Amino acid sequence: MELSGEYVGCDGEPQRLRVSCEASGDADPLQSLSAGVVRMKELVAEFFGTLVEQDAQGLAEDPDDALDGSRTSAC
Amino acid sequence: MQNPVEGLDGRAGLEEGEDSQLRPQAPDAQASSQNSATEGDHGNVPQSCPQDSGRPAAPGTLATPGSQAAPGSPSPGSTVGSGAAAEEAAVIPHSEQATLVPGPSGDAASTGNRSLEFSVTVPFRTAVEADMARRSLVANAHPQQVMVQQEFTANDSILAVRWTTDDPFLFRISINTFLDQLSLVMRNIQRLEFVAVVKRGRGRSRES
Repeated sequence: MELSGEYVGCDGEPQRLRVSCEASGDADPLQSLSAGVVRMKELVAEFFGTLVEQDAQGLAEDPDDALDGSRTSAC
Repeated sequence: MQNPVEGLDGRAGLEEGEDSQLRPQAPDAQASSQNSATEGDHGNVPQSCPQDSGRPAAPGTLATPGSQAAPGSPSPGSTVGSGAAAEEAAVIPHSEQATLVPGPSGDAASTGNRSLEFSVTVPFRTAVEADMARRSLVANAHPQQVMVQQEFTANDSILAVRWTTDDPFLFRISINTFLDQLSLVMRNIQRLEFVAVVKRGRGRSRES
C-alpha cells in the first residue's frame, strides 16, 4: 500500500509525494494507513511551506514587479 | 582634385536653396525637395532612406536648405544634417526594442492564469471502506468548496481526491483539513470493525 500525492504547478510538471504504508507482521493495514496519513501531513506542510516561502522571497526580491509577482504567485 | 568636387557640391546646394526659396509652397518644389533629400540621404546613409523619406513632408525639412544656402558655412550644414540623421536612426531602434518588451510579459501573463492542482490517492482495503470514506469526506467538504475546488472519486478500493486553486496557501489549508478528517474517518472505521468483532464474539458465546 502507498499513500501518494501529486502537485502540478504553473509549469505543468508534476511533483510527487509518496508514503509507504506496508503493514508489518500482524499489524492492522488500516492502522498502517493511518500512520501514513500522519506522515503525509508532515510532507505536505513541508512542501507547501517551502513553496509559499519561495513566492514570498520572489515578491521581496522584485518590489517594482509586485504586480507580476502577484500573477506568478496566483499561478 | 578635391577642390573641384567641393565647388560642384557648393553650387548644387546653392541651386537647391534658390529653388526652395522661390517656390516654398508649390507641389513641384516639394516633390523636387523630396527627391533631392532622398538622393542626398541615399548617398550619405543608405540604411536610413525609408525613414528619411517621411521627413520631407514635414515643414522642418524645408528649413534645412535655408541653412545650407548660407555662403559662410556649407560644410558644417551637411555635418549637422548627418548628425541629426544619426540621432534619429539611434532613437528608433530603442523605440522598437521598447515595443518588443510587452510580448514576453504578455506570454508570462497568459501563463500566470493557469490553475494549480494537487491530488491524493488513498488505498483502502476494500471498496466498501473507500466508499464510506468518500461519503464522509464529501459531507464535510462543502464549506471549503467556496475557495478551493475539490473532487472526490472512489474507484474500487482507491479513494482519489483532487484540489484546484490559484493560491498555494489555500492548498495547504484544504489538504491539511482533509488529512485530519481522513484520520478521523479511519478511526471510525476501525471502531466499527471492533464493534462488529465484539458482537460476533458475544454471538458465539451465546451459541456455545
